[in-house]
Amino acid sequence: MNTVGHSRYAVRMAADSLRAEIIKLATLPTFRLTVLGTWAAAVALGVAFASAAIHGQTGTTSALDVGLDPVDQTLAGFIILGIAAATSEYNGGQIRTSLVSVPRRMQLQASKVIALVLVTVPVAICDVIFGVGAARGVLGRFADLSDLSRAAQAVAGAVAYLTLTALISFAIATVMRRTLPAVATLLSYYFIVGPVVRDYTALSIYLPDTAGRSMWFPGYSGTDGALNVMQGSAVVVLWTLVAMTIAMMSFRCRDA
Amino acid sequence: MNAIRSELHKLASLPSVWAAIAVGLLVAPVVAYLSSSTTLSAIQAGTDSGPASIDSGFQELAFGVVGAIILGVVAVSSEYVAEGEEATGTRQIITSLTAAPSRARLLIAKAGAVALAVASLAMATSVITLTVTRGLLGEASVPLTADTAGRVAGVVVYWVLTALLASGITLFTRSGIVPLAVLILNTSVITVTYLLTRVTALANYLPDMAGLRMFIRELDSPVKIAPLNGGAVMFAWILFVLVAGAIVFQRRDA
Amino acid sequence: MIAIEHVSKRRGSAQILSDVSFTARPGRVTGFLGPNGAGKSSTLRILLGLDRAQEGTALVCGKPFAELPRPLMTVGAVLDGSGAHRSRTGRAHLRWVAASNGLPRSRIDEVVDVVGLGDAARKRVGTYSLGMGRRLALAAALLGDPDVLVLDEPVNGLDPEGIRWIRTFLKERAASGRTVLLSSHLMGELAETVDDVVVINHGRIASRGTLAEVTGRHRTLEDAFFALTSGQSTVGTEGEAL
Repeated sequence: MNTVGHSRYAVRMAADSLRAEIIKLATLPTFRLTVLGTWAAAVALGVAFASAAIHGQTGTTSALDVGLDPVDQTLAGFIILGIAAATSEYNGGQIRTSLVSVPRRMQLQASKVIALVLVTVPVAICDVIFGVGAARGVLGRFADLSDLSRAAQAVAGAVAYLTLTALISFAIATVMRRTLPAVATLLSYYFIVGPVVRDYTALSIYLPDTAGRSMWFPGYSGTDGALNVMQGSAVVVLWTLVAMTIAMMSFRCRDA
Repeated sequence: MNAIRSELHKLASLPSVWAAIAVGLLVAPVVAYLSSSTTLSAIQAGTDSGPASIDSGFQELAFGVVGAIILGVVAVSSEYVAEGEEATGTRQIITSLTAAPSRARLLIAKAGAVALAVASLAMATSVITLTVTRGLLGEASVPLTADTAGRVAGVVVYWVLTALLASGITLFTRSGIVPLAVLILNTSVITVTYLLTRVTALANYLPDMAGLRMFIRELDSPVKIAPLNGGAVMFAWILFVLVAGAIVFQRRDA
Repeated sequence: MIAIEHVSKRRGSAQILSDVSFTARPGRVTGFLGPNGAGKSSTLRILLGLDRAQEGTALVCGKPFAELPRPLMTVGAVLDGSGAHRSRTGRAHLRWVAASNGLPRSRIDEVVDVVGLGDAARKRVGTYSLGMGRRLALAAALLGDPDVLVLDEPVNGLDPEGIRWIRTFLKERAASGRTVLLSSHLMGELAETVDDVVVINHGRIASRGTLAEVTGRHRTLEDAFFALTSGQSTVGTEGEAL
């Protein structure tokens, strides 16, 4: 085969392994349930936050600001999605079937990552929109959806943050290989350790969870010492790349 | 007694349990160190007139409960975990049920083992955390009273009941993911249950909100519940979950 | 055609395989025989690229496994258990395996028929018996209609009907010109199925040759095996003893 034929063949093989990974995610019950549960939580929390806003409990009645609050909690769903995508290979000995079907480990890992992104982004978009929509629904005439460009930027930032966090979780779970320890570690970090440390160290702005806030949290970027949107995004992307590299190296060298 | 001892052995053999113990021992003291240092510098800089909050040390122990949660979940989920490899029916639950005289006894022994382990953990962490806080704050810390001992008891009860709640939920779900996710999220700085208290006063009677009253004095809520009442409410919740879980466990195929 | 040459593997301080060499030829069923822990699975894992050897080469149709462009069309592997996630259905599992190598979905129905999985294919793998899981693993291995079949303890968990079925199936496959390599520690069953035998013990090849050569003057393959691996050969064998 000439070089054009070779590269066309390589592209087809890459597409094949990518398709297989997407089928794996789509047919994994844990994955499906987590997606549905996350969406449900987004709606429920959107309603809850909006009710609190009406009673004057939150500082704002902007449907956007209130509707984005659920992102903080639904982040947990995306962490679990990333973990499930990685650890499901170690159930029933599936990793051996996967490695026999696609023996080049880099290709296999890359397919998994791309598949995860392709599936997670739409889930994240729905997650954010459901939350904002639910808040808008409850706030009704109180809603204040003025600035559309700010809304678009915040939604895009939230979707990016949720997806990158899913990727970081995927990478860490690839190294840990077991679901519960990965869930315990990542959720404890993002929900307990991270937020607490945030209040006490200035350096925390370089940690993925705090830096990520500037990507979507209304009014966060630009407050004292916090990074702005571009800086925050860069930090989170950097963390994602570091985690991915470590995961790739681990996957490549270890016995199946 | 034998059954509880064998359940304790099982717990001791799980690496996840030791990790949970490490987490439980570390989180509260480390956070207490950070917050007390900050308070101390603020007092020394003159921006805070002191004395420290009555809840210093105890607020951090409310975060530390995450170790108890992990322990409670793993104690049950480890029976069902078949992760890593093959064969269809070799989950530990089968061995456990064969060895135990009855399912009810197995559960009681397991609950007993979890309670004992977490109570010890809670005692140790409370002592460490309060020592750290009082050590750092020195004169600025709130004087020790008989109430303090009562509050430490409250911490221990809170941790034990939370661990049992985690075990109880895992009896239903078998997989540890959902109970871990729900309970860890609920231990964070702003919890879902706390947000619910903003929406309805009834949320103050949820297990964690009520249980916190046992040792937290300055809870930001208009609804006042006495410590013992809070403990009783939490106890009732956990009893309900455990009994429901036991019934499901009794009836289900292994 | 499988060619394994001078493969050695160490794990920590243990020497798992030492200078393992043998071939599995097309048109024949080759049996890889040895007690538990002898190194059969380790050798097969190295062949399939799951583990790395420190020395030696393991080639399938002249290439290392990782360099095969669409591996499932050349090699089908049946390893431990079902090789499938417990929560998926059998069909969902076969779907992704087929997709990974660009195989048509019509193959799924065909292999489900061949292995006799039937309606169970629509149920979750976690509900399968040991035998059904093995059938699913075989179905996945057959999706690409490969020239080479590698099976690790294939009769493990099968009922008598299944054992007879797989024996016939493997012999037919070899008769049609394909290569079959299977490992086992059950000598009686192996003797009914194979044409060539490779005996491994403590990570070293003890003998290799045709079934007749390795059995030699012993009454059964089992006798020959114990003689070879205990080092006390009271009756000679004609296979290469090393």
